[in-house]
Amino acid sequence: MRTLILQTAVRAIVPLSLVFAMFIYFKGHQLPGGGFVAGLVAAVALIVHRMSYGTQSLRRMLPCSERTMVAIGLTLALSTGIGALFVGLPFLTSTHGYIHLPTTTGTSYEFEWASVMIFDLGVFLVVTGVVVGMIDCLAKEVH
Amino acid sequence: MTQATWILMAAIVAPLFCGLLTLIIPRKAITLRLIIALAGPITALWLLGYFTRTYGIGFETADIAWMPTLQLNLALNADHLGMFFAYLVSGIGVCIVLYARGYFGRDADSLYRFYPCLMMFMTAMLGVALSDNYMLLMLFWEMTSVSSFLLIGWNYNDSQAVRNAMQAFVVTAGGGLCMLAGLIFLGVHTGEWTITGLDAAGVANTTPVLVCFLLIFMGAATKSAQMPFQFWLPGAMAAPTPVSAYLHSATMVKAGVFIVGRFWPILAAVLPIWPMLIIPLGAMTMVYGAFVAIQKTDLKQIFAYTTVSQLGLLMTMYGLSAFEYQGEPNLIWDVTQILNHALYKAPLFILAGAIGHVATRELPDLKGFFYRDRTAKILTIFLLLAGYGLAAGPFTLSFTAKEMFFYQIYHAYAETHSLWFWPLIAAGIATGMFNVAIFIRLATTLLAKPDPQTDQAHDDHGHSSHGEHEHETGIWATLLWVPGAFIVSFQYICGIIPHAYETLFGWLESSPYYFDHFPMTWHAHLGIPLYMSLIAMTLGIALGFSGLLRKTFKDPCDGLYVQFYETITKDLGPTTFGWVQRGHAGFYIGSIMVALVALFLWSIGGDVLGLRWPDGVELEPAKSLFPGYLLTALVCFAAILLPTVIDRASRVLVLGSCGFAVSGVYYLYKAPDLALTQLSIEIVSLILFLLVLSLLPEQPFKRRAWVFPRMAIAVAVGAVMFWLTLTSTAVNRPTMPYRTAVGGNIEHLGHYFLRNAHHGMDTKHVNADSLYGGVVERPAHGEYAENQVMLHPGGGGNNVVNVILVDFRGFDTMGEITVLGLAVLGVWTLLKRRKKTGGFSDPSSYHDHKDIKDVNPADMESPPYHSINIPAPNGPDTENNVFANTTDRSLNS
Repeated sequence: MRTLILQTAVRAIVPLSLVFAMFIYFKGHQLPGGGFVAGLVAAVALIVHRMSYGTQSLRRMLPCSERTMVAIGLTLALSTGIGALFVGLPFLTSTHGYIHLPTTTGTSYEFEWASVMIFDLGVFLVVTGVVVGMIDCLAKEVH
Repeated sequence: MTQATWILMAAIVAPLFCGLLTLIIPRKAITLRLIIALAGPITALWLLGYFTRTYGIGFETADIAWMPTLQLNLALNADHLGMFFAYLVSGIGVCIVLYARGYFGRDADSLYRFYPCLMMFMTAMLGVALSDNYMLLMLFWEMTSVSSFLLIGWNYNDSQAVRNAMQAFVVTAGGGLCMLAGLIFLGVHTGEWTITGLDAAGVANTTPVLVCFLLIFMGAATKSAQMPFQFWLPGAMAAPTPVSAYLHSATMVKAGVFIVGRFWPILAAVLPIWPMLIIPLGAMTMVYGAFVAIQKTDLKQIFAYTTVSQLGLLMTMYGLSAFEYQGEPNLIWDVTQILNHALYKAPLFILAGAIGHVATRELPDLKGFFYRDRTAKILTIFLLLAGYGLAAGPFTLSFTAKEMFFYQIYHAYAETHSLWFWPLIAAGIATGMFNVAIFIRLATTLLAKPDPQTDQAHDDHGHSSHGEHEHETGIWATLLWVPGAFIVSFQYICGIIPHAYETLFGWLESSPYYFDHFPMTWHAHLGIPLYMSLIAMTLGIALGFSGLLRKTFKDPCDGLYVQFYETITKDLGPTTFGWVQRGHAGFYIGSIMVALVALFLWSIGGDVLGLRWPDGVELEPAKSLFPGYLLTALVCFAAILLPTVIDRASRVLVLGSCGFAVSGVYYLYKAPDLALTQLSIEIVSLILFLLVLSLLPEQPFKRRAWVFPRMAIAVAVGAVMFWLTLTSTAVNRPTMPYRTAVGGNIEHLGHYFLRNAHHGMDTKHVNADSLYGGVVERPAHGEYAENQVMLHPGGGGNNVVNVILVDFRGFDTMGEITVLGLAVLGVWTLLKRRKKTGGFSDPSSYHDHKDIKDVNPADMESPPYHSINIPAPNGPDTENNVFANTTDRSLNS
């Protein structure tokens, strides 16, 4: 719907939603969220953008096609699984740990990492790519 | 030793890796593409050589756990047969990569598409050759089917090529499924999941083993094109010649023979059916293939049928291994036989493709081809040199190989004195005769003085079998024949120079019985085998010059697949499956619902009145439930409203409101993850529904039939679901296999997840090969035994839901996103196809399709099963806004 109200609102909503998607992706391991739902949120944001600004604008906004996004996502998820094989552990075995980042105040900041973050990023990309790609494709068909 | 396994795994994956690498360089960079593609098989060769030098052939590599619960491990078997195949696949692979450059010339697009497919196939073949674990073997086995489908159906615009590719795929993958069943059955029955393990354990002649053997042999026979499945192999000649040369000389079709070769030490002497099944089948294929080959005119078809014949010979050879001669298995230098075939058949295909490239592949049109120009002379000479190998003439490797095969028959006869071997001797002679005659006819046609009239063949370059593209000149053009010449030279090197064979290939031999040295032609001495050869040659020369069998002959088996396909899609499909597959959603959902209720009743023994309120259900006080009442009332209201709404779009909206209310319920009862997911899913599915609905034709108003049965089913399903939900939260589940660190029992799975989501409270030390999933810490050095790791089930997260998704059940998630990716691929391809042709059409069907305009929207209710035609949307839509159409319709209705 190319209405002025929606277009204006979308300008604020879409970046916020994308940031929120990243937030729930990064926080997913500790707080409600995760790659799947983050991917959905991002996808909905992108679809809203597509609804109000059209498919060309969506193309300009995305760094790569949805097809590439799905491919990269699957590759990431698979490679975290295969990575475990190289250290002699079964497929998809995960690990996690902490990084201590020094801060200016002298106390170190503890940052937790987990190998499943990469897996989750893969899930994120696949979900976003699939949802956006499917809806974009069908919408073109209706058009 | 893990390192040895990794070296072999690297050799297997190297071609695929290089093939994928060629995809990321620009299309026009042909030479760079060639170099990268060449690096694949060369790296594989180098790694195989390194492995051979460092560890030696037959070195027992360590198993690496991949998915131990599915019996899938990286267990490799680098014995003589496996290593020989690996060397053969990568060695011929190098030649084929070079040849493809000559064949496709400067056609950058074809090369861009060709190398990744070829490299995937190469990896699959290397994997088949080196796998020891059944599941790993099957994985690569199916990969060969898939990648060969891509290669055979190369000309995807040619519906005949696509059909032939499908035919090859259906036959070989169908056989592969039989083999999968056989291998799983064998693994479950014997408890051994590797071939070497089975060999060590041994098997007895029991019915289960017999069934396993039959199933496995089914896979081998279809792959190796044994009768009556031989039709797929000549059909696969629709592929470009590099593919034919690779698949049908050295690799894919040999896979079946290879499987039989893998299992003969285990099964041949045990199962009486081994010789009884394999020898007659192989012998029939051997004679029949040669008989058809001589009556074909297309060079590739001729060589395809001689391949069928040779595969029959190799099968017979392994069939004969069931007998014993002088206390040893009756199998003489089987690797030599396989190698010999590759060494003359690959050049034959390569040069046939080259001749088809510069002239035509129809033999009658090639009369006097030799005298055309300099290239023609070179091509003819090398084709005839390879053809001499086909005829098994003296002073070639082929001659010795054929003698050995005859010796095998003779030995089996000498040991058993069974009259059944006389037909086999006759079959051997007949095959030899046909092969000699084919060579004579090739030679006489190509070398005959040309008639001045028939010289026009020079101009008919646009032969249907060969795509039109820019031709290559100069050094690259010689790649059309140099790989073939290189390969065929080994036939003569090994046939003429003493000890050359042993130095080059002999050390890979897996059954070096009876001969201390590789026998040369002049070692042949009078005996039944030599008489057989001499009779075959005399008869062959006579047949070659005679006028017999000069008519073209169509193999009646060619119709088998077409008939099968027609039966399945036209008769059996619509009648039998159509009875179940009504194409009516109400029927499907209704049957699922009825089955659910029936299963529930069955599981409680039909005692509905005996159900009691389960113990342990805690009821919240009404006050705390109050906000939930509102939301559930909304859900119920929407649910009751749903059947009364007729319009599809409105129904979707009502359904959506139901979903939104449910997500509110989730939020209320402290499941924000689920609430958020449900909310997003509702939005996405609402949009998807509306988009798809707007593509459907208008729905005429229909009064609902069967209202009361439907209501009864709905109420019953609701009651069942309510009961299941109620009991699942209250009743104690079966005991969990997990124990706490101090030995206590963990009652619920949910309990286990909660305990271990962040910090692994139930840490324990286990063997590395017995665990699956979970988080693992390597212990400090020397703390535990070498193969032990510390199972540390903590996922490092406080959000249990997410830890379950990405960690405890990570493999499920992996599968789910793969399914998602495949679904979207399906949408993209189908919609693209629809856009191009205006409708879905099945290129594999043997009939023309109705034009899209002929399809009545009323036909939509029961689409024909072989092709689905959906009329193009005809709604008025002129705006730039793609969603307007949908929204307006839903609002208007």
